[in-house]
Amino acid sequence: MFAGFLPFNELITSDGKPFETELELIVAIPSVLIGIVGIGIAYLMYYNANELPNKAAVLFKHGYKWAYNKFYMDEVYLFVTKKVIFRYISAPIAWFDRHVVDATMNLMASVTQNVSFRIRDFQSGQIQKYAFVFVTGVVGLAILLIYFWK
Amino acid sequence: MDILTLFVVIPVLTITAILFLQDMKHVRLVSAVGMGIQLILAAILIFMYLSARHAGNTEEMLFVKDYLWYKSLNIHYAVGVDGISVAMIGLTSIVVIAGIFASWEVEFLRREFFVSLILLATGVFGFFISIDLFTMFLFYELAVIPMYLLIGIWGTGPKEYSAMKLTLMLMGGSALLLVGLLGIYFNSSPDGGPLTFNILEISKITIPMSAQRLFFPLTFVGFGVLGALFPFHTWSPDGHASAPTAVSMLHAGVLMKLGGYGAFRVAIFLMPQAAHELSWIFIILTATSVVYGAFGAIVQKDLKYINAYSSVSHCGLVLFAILMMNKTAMNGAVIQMISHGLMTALFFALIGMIYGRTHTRLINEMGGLMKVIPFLSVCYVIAGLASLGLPGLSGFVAEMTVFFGAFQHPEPFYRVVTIVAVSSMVITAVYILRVVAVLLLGPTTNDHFNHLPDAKWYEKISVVTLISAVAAIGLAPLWLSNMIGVSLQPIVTKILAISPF
Amino acid sequence: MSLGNFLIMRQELLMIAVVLIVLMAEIFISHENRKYISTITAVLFALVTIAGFLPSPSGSLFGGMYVASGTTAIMKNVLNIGILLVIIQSITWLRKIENSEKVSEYYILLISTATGMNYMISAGHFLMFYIGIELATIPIAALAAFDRMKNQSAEAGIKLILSSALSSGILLYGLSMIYGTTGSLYFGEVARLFTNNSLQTLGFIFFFAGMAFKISIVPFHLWTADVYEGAPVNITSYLSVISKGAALFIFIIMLFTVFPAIIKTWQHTIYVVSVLTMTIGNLFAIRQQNLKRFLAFSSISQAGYILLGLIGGNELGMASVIYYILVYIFSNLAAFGVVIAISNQTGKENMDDYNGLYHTNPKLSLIMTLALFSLAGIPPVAGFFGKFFLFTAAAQQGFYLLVLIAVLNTIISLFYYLLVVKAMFINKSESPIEKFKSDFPTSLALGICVAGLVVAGFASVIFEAIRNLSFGI
Repeated sequence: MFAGFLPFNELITSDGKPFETELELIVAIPSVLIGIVGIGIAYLMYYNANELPNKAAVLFKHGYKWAYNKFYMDEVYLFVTKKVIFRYISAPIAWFDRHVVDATMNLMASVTQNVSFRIRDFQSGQIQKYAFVFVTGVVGLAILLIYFWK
Repeated sequence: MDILTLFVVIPVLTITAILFLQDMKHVRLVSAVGMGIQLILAAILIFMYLSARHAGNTEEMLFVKDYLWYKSLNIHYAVGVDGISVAMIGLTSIVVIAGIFASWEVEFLRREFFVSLILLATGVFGFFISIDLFTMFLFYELAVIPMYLLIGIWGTGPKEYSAMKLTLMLMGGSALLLVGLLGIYFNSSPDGGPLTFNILEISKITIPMSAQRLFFPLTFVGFGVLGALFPFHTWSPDGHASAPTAVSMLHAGVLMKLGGYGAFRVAIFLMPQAAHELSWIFIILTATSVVYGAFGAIVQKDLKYINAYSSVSHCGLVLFAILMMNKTAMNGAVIQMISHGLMTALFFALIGMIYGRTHTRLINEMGGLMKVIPFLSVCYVIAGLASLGLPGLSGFVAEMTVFFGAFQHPEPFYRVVTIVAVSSMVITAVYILRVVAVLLLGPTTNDHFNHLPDAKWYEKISVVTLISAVAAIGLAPLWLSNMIGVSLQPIVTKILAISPF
Repeated sequence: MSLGNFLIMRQELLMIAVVLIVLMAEIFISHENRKYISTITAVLFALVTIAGFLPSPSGSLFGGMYVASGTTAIMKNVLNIGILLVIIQSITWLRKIENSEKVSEYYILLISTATGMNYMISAGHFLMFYIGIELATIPIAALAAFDRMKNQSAEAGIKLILSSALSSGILLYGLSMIYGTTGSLYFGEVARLFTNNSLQTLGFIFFFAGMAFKISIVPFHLWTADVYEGAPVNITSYLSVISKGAALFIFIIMLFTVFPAIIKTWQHTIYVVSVLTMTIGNLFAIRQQNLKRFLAFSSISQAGYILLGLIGGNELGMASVIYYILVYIFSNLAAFGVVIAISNQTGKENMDDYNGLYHTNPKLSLIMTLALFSLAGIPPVAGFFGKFFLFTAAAQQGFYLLVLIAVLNTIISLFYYLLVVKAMFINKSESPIEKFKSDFPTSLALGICVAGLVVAGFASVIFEAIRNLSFGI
């Protein structure tokens, strides 16, 4: 109810000047009138308990049934959300998030762990192997630096 | 001592006081007092800021203090605020005090808990007052690392895994960020002269385009990780779900805003050309975040997961709006940061309180809570309505401004993604209303629930503080958006100087 | 040779004097007064450390074989602080019954290596450098085998001496090539005559390998883990901090002053080995359960980060390397200090043993946490500043990709450092390490380290002082 008090047209501009907003009277007057008529009918029917509602219900049999079930809007709504959005959009997205995006992140971690596990044998504890790696390193560097990056 | 440095000094003093306390009972009291002072200080700062602006002070940053720290690298301890940082400081102090009250009942290692929590707050405050990239980065990392202990020690569920994942991913973000910042630093004076980390000084020059192309993505993604940018958001659901209440509040409420704020203040502001050129990539990513987070939230069963995904969606909206690079959208982005900060803190506080009573967070195991704990339930409904953008609450103002701003962009691509992003609002409504319906209405499913006590006084303080702030922004957004708008002007001027619209 | 000339060599002479005094004490002090030897050594060495900070003359001796400058003075001071800390940390361990007969031996060997390192740093001639490096290495092999009743310790000693014999051989071979092609062994002469011909490059590579062995750079690092694990903890900490630091110091001096002509060559080399070193060091560290081994691999990856400071060949790089080693001394010695304290008290060295440590020994856990955060480069402790400066130095020369690789590697390091933090704070244990009170020397050493960790970052004077004395190519 406070929304009308928000100087919204001022808020949402980029240049500081308010947007011009005007009342579309053709839309506004009938809608207000329909609203008032509706309130009036409801007042007549329900303010004092009487037979009017029941009579009206019999009179507009199908209309009443539809209206009573809120024009089946809930069912439509439920169908759209439960059957379509939940099952065919949200659930796959949630699954994708867990099993693809998140798994990618976890994969980076587990690959690191795995590599770490694989290379452990390098540290064999045998000094002759260490010497071998040492000399290989020297030779490798020499080849790289003298023949490739000269 | 200047008023801004006090924002770092007071938490540090509070921590020192807590460390020397003999009686564990007083720990939470001291924390509350310290952070209460901080809140008052924030109010004073806002007042001082507004009156300085009112008096006609048009400088970009106010209350600037600059101390030379590392001379040879020209690193300064430099602080200063504009309307945006003032707003963020206000947000932080509100969320922190609410977080302190929300964790009133922490028993296990109470002293350590409050110390870590306030340490985190120190980092956040320091980040928002810094205008030097080095100190900014220092405070950024300082804010991230206590999370590990906070989640690892006091969390629930797979807390060790979540804590590790969160810390490593956020630190991964800050790794990218570090390279980005160094790149900015070494290109901060293309015409020779001393290099600088000072944001204001860098904003006066134009970083060479080749460097921008390289360092804008690094900086933006670096901050984006903390702002839950798709696909680097996966720390968020696990982290939030495992974190204790106050930590979720602070993290979603404040810490994630560091990402948005940083992306805006550093990435876009200092490298607008590259931002303009590359924005389409990140707009696609953020729009994905927005919609994807909302859809992801629908099927979750755990309240915290719902909220975590909804945070991904809402924080995505912040980055989305920033990338639109016009004043309205950016204004909306800042309001959205604040609004989401308050709202999501409120959500997490309530979820924590409900969980403390029902010992479950799964929505299908709950029902009919409205009858048993009416105070908490009503507050939950309010939070929900704010989140789905009900007029009169902060979310409406923020999202409307964002979408109007985004739609102003004349190119069809931007309009299309805006429409896609708007659809997230509908989805938000779906999952919020569903939770409210299942959780609060209907019959109570569990006998045990009938004896749940309603909120205690400290819980009420926590919740009411947040709700009043949410409502205040919703009802009187103008002063906030004015405060932000004035400060956005120089930034927008810089950005628009190069972009063709 | 006048008195003034002796002053130039003050540091080394003072150390030799300390060695002689300890030797005398060993001979003349009666058996029951032996226990004071530790205290005497510590006090004497503290005096040496303080003396190092007095203004010292620069100049050269022996026709340029020995050079002293502001840079060498600050490098020696940084090392002295570390050596002093190691000496203090050893006191408790040496009080044990099985070591009571070997106290002075320990100090004599330790300070001899320190003397060797000082000569090495001050070298102006390859022979002086070689003598220094050998004096710094051989006593350490003896020290590594100090627990002679333990097989592992003996194994560590023999592995160290054999590997370093190999590396020395290769180093000397390289030097002979350099001598053969330039006709001189003086640094200045060599620098002047060095060109880019293949034989000289080969000589450089051999020299590089010899140094890389000392700094334990991949692939010349394999001895590290075994030696670190087998040696007594104090020696491990000495090896990982002091030896490595000294080798890095002389390495950076030589790269900048002797080999500037082939800067492209060594930049390539360092690029490759630094990536290898950090990555492989990290990958191995992830799986370690023994904390000594864990810290050994962590120190390998740290060496990889330090190489980033060298690669630019700039002033900032040298300053950041010296500063980082200072910070690294505090961080690593704090971490080792905790390991030593716990190992002395309980003999436990495994990560599982640390489960729940915070609940019984909160202070030690906090010190360990600070130290590990500093190693990982987390603010507000000094390691953050140190890493930042190293990376800045590399970025200054445009090595952004290398910096990116390095910072991503710090994430891996953070992971395994956090594992220790997790053990101490989060894991539960049936039988945690009992609550105990550390004795004075341990607390003193840890106190100095923590003070260093906190102060060295915030007090910019330290970095600026180092920066003023550094030089680039």
